[in-house]
Amino acid sequence: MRRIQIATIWIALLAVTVGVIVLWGNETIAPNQTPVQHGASEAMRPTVASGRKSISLFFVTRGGTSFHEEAREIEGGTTTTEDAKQTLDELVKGPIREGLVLTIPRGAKLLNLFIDSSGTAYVDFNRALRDGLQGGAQGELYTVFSIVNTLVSNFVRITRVQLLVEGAEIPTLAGHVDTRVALTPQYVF
Amino acid sequence: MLFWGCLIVVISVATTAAAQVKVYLEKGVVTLPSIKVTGAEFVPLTSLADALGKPLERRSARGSYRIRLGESVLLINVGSPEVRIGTAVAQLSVSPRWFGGRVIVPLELLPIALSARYGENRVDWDPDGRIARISRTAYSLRLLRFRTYPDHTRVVLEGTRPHDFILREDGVSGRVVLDIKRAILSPAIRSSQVSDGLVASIDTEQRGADSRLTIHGAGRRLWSKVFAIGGPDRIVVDLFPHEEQERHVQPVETLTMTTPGQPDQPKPATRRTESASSAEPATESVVRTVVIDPGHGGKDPGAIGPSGVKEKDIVLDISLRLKRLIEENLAVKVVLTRTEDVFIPLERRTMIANRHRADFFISVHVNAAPESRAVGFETYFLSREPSDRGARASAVRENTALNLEGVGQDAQRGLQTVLWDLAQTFYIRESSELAELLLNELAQSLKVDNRGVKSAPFFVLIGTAMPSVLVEVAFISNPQEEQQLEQEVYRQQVAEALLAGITRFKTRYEKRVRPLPAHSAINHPPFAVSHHEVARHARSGLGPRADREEPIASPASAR
Repeated sequence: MRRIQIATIWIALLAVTVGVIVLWGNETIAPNQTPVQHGASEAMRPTVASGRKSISLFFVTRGGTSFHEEAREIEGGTTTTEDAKQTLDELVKGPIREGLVLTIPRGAKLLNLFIDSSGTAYVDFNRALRDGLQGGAQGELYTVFSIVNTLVSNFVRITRVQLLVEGAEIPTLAGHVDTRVALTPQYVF
Repeated sequence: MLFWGCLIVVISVATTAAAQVKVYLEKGVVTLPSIKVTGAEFVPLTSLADALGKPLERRSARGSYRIRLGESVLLINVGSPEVRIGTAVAQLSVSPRWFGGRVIVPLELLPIALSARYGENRVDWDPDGRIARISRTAYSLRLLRFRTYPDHTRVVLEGTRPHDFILREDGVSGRVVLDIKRAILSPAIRSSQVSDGLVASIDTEQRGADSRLTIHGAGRRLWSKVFAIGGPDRIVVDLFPHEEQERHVQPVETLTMTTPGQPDQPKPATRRTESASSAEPATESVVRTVVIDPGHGGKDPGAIGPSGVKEKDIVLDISLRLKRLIEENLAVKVVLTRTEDVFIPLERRTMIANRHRADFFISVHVNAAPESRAVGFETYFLSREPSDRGARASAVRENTALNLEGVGQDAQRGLQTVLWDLAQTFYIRESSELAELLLNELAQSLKVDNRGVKSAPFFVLIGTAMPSVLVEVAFISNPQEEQQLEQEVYRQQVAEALLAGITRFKTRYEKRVRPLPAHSAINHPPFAVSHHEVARHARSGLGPRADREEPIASPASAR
């Protein structure tokens, strides 16, 4: 009986402590959640509201004939950058619907994402994005443009996408598509 | 125990300590602890102030801070992504925030603040190594680039201001040495391999307060031409094979010092000689050279089929067959970018096409898709501008040949842009037709899916100064197509289909761009650009000859 009492006290104490930490944490990040900063550039301006958001991801149909969009929900952050990161993380996970194929090589992971004031999103992946590609032009086009199309079609503040691998610009992923410059979306090949 | 365990877990989920960031000042090193919060990386504001060597002033209890940087003031407000530096505003991707009772700022502010404090030209920020170095002296040369043209190689050194320089040619060793006075090389400028058949490499060297660029010829004697232009300030060195020299009448000087900012000098008398010599007799065949590019090679196998057949081997075989067929049937010179299993960088393939003044360029590939069901052939052409607006403007300035007597500078610039656009439009239109004709012939010959003519920003098509296409003859990822590609008969069939497409294109192209009769050209007003002229520029890649830029000073030359 006494053991149960002690355990109950411990659990209550733990719950209170966690609650305090969460509140403290919220308080410290509160300045980051203040309303839109006037004068901030479009790309850096926090999104209007945090909370779950609907996005659509670009995958390729089986047979590799075209892109197909799949709707998904993300938790949503306080800035476009956070939302864009979550969106690409979902793209990397792959499609849920039958008949669609993952466009990002296995093992590829988003390392960082940054949006500049001109609307260019810099998307930094680990080297698996390059090394894991099969080598054909078709596969490379779908990999590159699934990233570009997903970002540009979901976020009005992103107009083009510069791919980076391990923090550096790369001329090409698999020898076909020129990734030296930021790319605008292309939906049909 | 359990409580502390949970506490540690909760805290560690929110933040992780990232690697330290080091700032090497002239005297001493400042190490900044870095903290990752919700994916973004921050450094404490107090540490940033240490790196800037200036005290941090708190302006209000609500989180407004100021650091006086000598000439300007850095203003930071917690919660705002806007950071004010003097009269400028920098936008950060995340806002400075409170963390554990202190203010932290995103790491991206570090190079911005260092540049404001010490001068942009003195800060070398390495985001990978997480090291910032503040050099004692500001660099004044920021970028080195080069490009291969049909008849020469151009080396461009970009500065932050005009420089004095001297060019020397070492006839024996084939070297060209450019000494730039009172110039500091940016750490970003490094020695480069060029290997374009004319120039082997470029070495850079800081010699006290001066800089030196040594351009090594690829086993041939070089002669060169140097001049400076502004906006941005650049020193341009054009290198020609020595045998070309007689075609260009040059002032005899072995040493030239250029004082930047001088008004334009009269142009050397090369233009008329050049124009006259490049006029083509109307009876000659327009299409003289075709460059075929077998994709991949060497360490790059390209796509690999399910049973191990490699794209690089298949496309080399098809290209060799195509070369033979073209030479036998069309009396056209064929240049392959590779004739064996070697790795050729993509830029080099484009250079080869430009160097040989190819009339058109065909890159041969075999496709692969993540899904083995994909089957068929397709052709691609490049539909977008090869570069962004800044690069385009630069390309227009550097590459357009247009000298119109009596036309003002501004008007010339406008006309140059028009001519450049005209050439780009011309390439795209011709490329799309070549892509279509090749596709039609493949469709007639091969009984598989015709996936159509498409466009994509393919690297190997960018920078070719001629109509250019990329052909994907089959899907090696499809087991059935892989099996067919292994058969010699099928590869020959593909090569023959490509020959048929090339033949049809050649006939149509020659009809369109055949030189106009001489009397009709003479009757044109001076700034009217005939269709033929565009075609001629297209073939020469708008390629700069001796007179493409407006030299600020007379060109340096030797012998």
